[in-house]
Amino acid sequence: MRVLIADDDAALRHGLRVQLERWGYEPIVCADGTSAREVLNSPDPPPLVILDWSMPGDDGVTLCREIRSNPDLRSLYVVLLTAHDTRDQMVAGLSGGADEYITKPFDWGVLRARIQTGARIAALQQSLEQRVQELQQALDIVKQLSGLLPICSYCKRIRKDDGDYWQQLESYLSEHSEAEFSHSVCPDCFDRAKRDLGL
Amino acid sequence: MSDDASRGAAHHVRSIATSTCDCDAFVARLGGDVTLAREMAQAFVAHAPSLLGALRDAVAGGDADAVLRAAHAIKGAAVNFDAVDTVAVAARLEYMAREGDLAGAVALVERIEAAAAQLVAALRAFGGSSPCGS
Repeated sequence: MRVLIADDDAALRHGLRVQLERWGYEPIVCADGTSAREVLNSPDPPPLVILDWSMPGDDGVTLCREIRSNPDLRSLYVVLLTAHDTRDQMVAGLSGGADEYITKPFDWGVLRARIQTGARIAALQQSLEQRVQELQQALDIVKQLSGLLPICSYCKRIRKDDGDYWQQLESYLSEHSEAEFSHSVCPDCFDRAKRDLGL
Repeated sequence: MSDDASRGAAHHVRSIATSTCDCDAFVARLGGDVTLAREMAQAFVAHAPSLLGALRDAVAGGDADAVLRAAHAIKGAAVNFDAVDTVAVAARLEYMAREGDLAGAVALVERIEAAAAQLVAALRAFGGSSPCGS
């Protein structure tokens, strides 16, 4: 899993890069908030984000608020990693939208465990979003086929909404669903078809 | 160096916890990974001049917000090494800058520079594989 790290502390950046790679993640390392924002606004942002609060450019809490207000980013798992260690600062960070708040200095074993938790939740969130998208697509198709359809009792064509145009049933269904048709003749119709064709 | 070898090397580190820094505690938080601890110490040593330069510039410019950010950056970087002296003075300057009070900031910067110089010396020794703080 790709993980964005944004911290202006060179030593910590090095430690985080090395450790995250060891732990099986793909770190994307930024030294300031501006470059972190560029990564977040890329077409495929990482699902897990570790932000310092105070750093040049955009600070971590500002980025956090932006993440939560952006429909494309709001499901990201955000860890604030900071030397702001008062109760009020912790409340402000979590209220700003952080999922996790870790103060420096921290134990790397604990950090690893919390990142594992974040990665699990981020993966579940991604899976949930994908499933919701699939369900929405299915629901859209169901909605297209619901309602009262005017159909000819004889030829079984369906009248379209946008005028006096009658459409073959299979053509209508193909247009409004993912169904496809293969044509053949059923046994009941076979004799009539032979007569009609003079066979 | 493998994780096991690195952790084994922790037994050969005999550092002295002082108010300058506590590399034992730092290494312990890293799960005993002395190699990575030394690399991080070297990174701090390399980065320290720019941190202190930014603080000096901020105080010279009388910009309380810039002083706040620079003091916090030093505190945040030093706290990883349990650098009590540097962290305490930087935190005090950070508090003053947050209150918009830069009177006495120059004197505090001198104290931060002195504490940071000791920290850099200790981490340089640690990063070069000598015992931390010796």
